[in-house]
Amino acid sequence: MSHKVYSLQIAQVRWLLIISYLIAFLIDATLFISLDWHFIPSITLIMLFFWVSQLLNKVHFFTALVLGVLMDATTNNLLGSHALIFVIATFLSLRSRQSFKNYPGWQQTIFIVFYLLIAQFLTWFVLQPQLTGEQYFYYWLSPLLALVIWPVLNQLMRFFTERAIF
Amino acid sequence: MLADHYSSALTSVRSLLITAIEPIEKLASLPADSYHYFQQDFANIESLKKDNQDLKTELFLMKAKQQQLARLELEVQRLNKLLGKASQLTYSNVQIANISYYKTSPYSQSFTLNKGELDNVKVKQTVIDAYGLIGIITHTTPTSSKVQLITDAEIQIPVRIQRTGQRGILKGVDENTLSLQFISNTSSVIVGDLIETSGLAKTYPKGQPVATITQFKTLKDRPYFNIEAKPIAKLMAAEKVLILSIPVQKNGKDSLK
Repeated sequence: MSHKVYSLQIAQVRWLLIISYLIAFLIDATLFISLDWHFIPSITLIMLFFWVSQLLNKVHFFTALVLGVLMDATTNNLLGSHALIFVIATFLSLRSRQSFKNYPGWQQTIFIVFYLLIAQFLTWFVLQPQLTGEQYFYYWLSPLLALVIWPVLNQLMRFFTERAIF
Repeated sequence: MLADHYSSALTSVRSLLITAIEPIEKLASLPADSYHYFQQDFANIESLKKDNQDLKTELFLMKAKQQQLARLELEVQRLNKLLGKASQLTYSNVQIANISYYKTSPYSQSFTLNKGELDNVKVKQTVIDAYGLIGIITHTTPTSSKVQLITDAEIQIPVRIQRTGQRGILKGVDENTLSLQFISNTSSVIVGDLIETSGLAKTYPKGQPVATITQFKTLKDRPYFNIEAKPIAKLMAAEKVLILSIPVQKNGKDSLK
């Protein structure tokens, strides 16, 4: 089983991949449009980290670019801003994905928080958010929410991936 | 990013993307729409009656004011003819649109209207409410259009202080704050001064109220005041807005060309 999961091919999980990105994007859009929550890390980006660590025979740059451009269209930012952030974050996660996959859950979570913190730094320079008062505090603390989000998302996606394969 | 910022080359690409993600956005706005729908059901009949009465009174007063305005317009036309002006800017019509959903965040300030290209809405049209300028249409799809609010940092509006005529540039700071730039520290500024569009960029109509000055201070060794202003329009409370058609000159030429 571990061998099969390790050599996961895109053809085995094509629909799961598309649906998971669609749902992640929908959650991000709902948080943005309906709930007005702006200090939650992008679920789409976390989903991208998951698939980067699972599908080892792909570099995922094109996916990162497309998702970033779609995010720009939703948030009404300059086309390419989120795409740039997503591609750089993907590049960082690519460098250690093989060892990342073998890390225990808590260590993976710390890595995800670190990647999200870098994404937040990039967002700061690229998008230059208009922050006031306590918003600075929420902005820089938001990657810590991945401490809760990543374990849940990771377990859920692993479950569905195994269901899709076996 | 550069292409999107400095040119309109990606306008059609963006319109295509917005059209593609429109179903997702509509789905994402469902929780907020449902909340508003159920909230409306709890509205008190008495308060609705009171609102109706208030609106009737307001309509009556507006009609009276409109009669005065019509007289004034004729008077201005007569004076313009006497002065021999070749043409004046005018607005052929306005359209009422509903706000589908707000998209305000620290990264951008915008909202989506329920009217698009099929309703003849075009990019660069100005959007106002009953109080003042709200923003400008930046992207359109066949059935919707995106309005970038005046509080967005990307938008810069050529304005003037109504009392003195001093010209400057108004820029967004956050959801409720604007910054008025390039006002010389030797000019007269008073808290409460009304800021209106100067019409210089030919994008915004001239004389549209935008904001009021809330505070100003002199910066050491700088030739300009640091001025903060508050938008007049109810940006976050508006439900219906007016889309002004692109100004045309009376001699038939499009002034934006």
